[in-house]
Amino acid sequence: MEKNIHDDRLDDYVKKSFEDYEEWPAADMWERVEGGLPLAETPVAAPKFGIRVFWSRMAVAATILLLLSALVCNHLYYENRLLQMAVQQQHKDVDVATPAAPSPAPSAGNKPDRNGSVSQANAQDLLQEANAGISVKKYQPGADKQHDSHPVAPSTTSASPTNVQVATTHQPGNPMAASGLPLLPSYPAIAPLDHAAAPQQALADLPAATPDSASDYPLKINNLLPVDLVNTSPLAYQRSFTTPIIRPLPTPDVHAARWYVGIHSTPVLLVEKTGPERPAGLRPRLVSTQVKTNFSADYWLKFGRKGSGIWGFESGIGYRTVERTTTHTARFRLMNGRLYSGAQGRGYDFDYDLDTYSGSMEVTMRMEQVDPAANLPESEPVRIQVTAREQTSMLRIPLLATATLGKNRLQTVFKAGLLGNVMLDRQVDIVARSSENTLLQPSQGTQAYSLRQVSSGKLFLGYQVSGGLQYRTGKHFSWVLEPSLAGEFPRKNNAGRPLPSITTVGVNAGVNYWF
Amino acid sequence: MHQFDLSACMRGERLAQKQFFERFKGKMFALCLRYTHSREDAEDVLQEGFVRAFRDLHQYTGEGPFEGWLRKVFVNTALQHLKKQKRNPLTFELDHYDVADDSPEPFLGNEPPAKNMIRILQQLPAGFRTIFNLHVLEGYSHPEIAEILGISVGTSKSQLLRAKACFRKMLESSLTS
Repeated sequence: MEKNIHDDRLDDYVKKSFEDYEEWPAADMWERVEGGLPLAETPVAAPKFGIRVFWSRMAVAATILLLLSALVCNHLYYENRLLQMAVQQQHKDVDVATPAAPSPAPSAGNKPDRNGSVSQANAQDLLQEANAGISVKKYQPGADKQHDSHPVAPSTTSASPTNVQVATTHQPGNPMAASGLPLLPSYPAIAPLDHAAAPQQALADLPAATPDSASDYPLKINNLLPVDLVNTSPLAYQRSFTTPIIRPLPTPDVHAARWYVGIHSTPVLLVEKTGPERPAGLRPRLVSTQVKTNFSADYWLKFGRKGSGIWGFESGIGYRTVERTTTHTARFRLMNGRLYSGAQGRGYDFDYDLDTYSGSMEVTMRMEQVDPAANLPESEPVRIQVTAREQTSMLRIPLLATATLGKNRLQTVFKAGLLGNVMLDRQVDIVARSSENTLLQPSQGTQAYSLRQVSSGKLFLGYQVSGGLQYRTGKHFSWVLEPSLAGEFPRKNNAGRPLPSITTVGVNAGVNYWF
Repeated sequence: MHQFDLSACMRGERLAQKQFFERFKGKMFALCLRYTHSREDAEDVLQEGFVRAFRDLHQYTGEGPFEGWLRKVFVNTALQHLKKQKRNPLTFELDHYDVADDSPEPFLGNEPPAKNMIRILQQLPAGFRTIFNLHVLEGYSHPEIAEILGISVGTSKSQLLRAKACFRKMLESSLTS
């Protein structure tokens, strides 16, 4: 018991003595620690830059799509607006004509339909009414007595001064006089006319179906509508007063065989598939794997043709840049290294092959003994963790079969086919190295490592499958939104070793222009 | 240590790592000196310990004081270093160790007691020194020490008793000389 108490007092004394006690190491200790750390991680900012680049590209693509959509909407709006104006003007023209003619109750058949367009049958009705109204021009006071079946009355559908001026003649027997409504000033008397011959005379007085002078009629469509309406509006309004022809808005013929071009963008998620590796030995064969989930995007200029049925094809050209951080671990024994005696001390060069998505490389990594005088055993393990940054850019050429289903503007589109990939550029650089053996550290000199790219095929094939929606906004434009899956067929380097491949999952969005 | 500094260290920013090093180098070097046989060995452990700490910084989950986590990193580093040592191997079968052969240097009155104790600890066999450190200064129990060092609990207890006896004897000797 006494001994335990004695021990406890010793423990307390020791603890208290070491509490907050500090001892300072050698002045160059930080340099030693720094030498054992991976290379300065300033390139860590690069992924952020990569992410910024990715999103900036997405922003550019979205802006282009928005601008295109604004153009399309603008076009559609004015197209519809001009149609409505033309239809309204047509009604005004008819109203001008109707007062002298029998004024039946407005029929629903004469009204524009919900879309503002007028059917061909209605156009014929309007034409007849217009022809009948010609008699107004030669209308004579008192003539209404002989035409009880065609009483002169203001149109119930028109309030324009022009109509009132024509309709409300201040004459005895005029129903307006008895109605109690205020009457407009009277007009100069017009010479009597043979009433029976008036319509025929009026017709004879009309100019031919050639452009009229501004004084011929109280209303003239060219004076009210935009100057080029007649020539530009899809509602082709023939300027002859007597022969208006109304054509409905063109609706996209989704079944017609047509060519199209398009701008598309496909944000994708990259999923890497790596091949086997030989992790250790005299010359290991290693495979780099991406550190974290990577994103990229494809940018496409596409063209295609849709047949009269459901089938068609699509091709074009695309561009993709992949920036990613990868890692691999090389494991050796000291006996696997080549002895190197340089100015900085005793070191060893270790060689291995590295297979990456962009191709194959021969790597030499230099390790140096921390204590040059130490005699390390041949079996001393050497383990080097290497972080690399890869950037590849490639052209992509699709050849896809398409199937378009649906009879309306909204259609379902399926695509499947081959993708030719052409590697344009590949860059691999080592950004960090670390050793798990404190007796050997990565060399920090200019010849700390070397990378030699092994030539491998620049062309490799892949596939793409997609299925999504297409919306035909009009005759010329359509929007496309398609989830897509793309991958690469197994590929090998020139030495016959399998290379990593990437499968992408994304959503293709874009706009097509149809000819 | 602020979280911001830790985050910067985890990102590998050198300036933050150096500030981190400056903040803890004194305490951690004292710890290394207690576990090792010489100042040179302690510096090796210190270097390796900081490298490991920076590498494994992301493993600190925020539970418990950060300094406690860092001490564990350095203790583990020191133990691994001792296991590799050939000159002064980490063994626990010292039944006939006699302190009389190792007379400690005299304690100087103007130096902190801890410095004298470090000198004494460095003269102890590695096994005694390790168990003494783990139990008395790190607060590990015998089962924990047994698990860490791969020895039995009985060996841990017996070695600790002998280590304390030697330590006390050498401490008294240094104080009286």
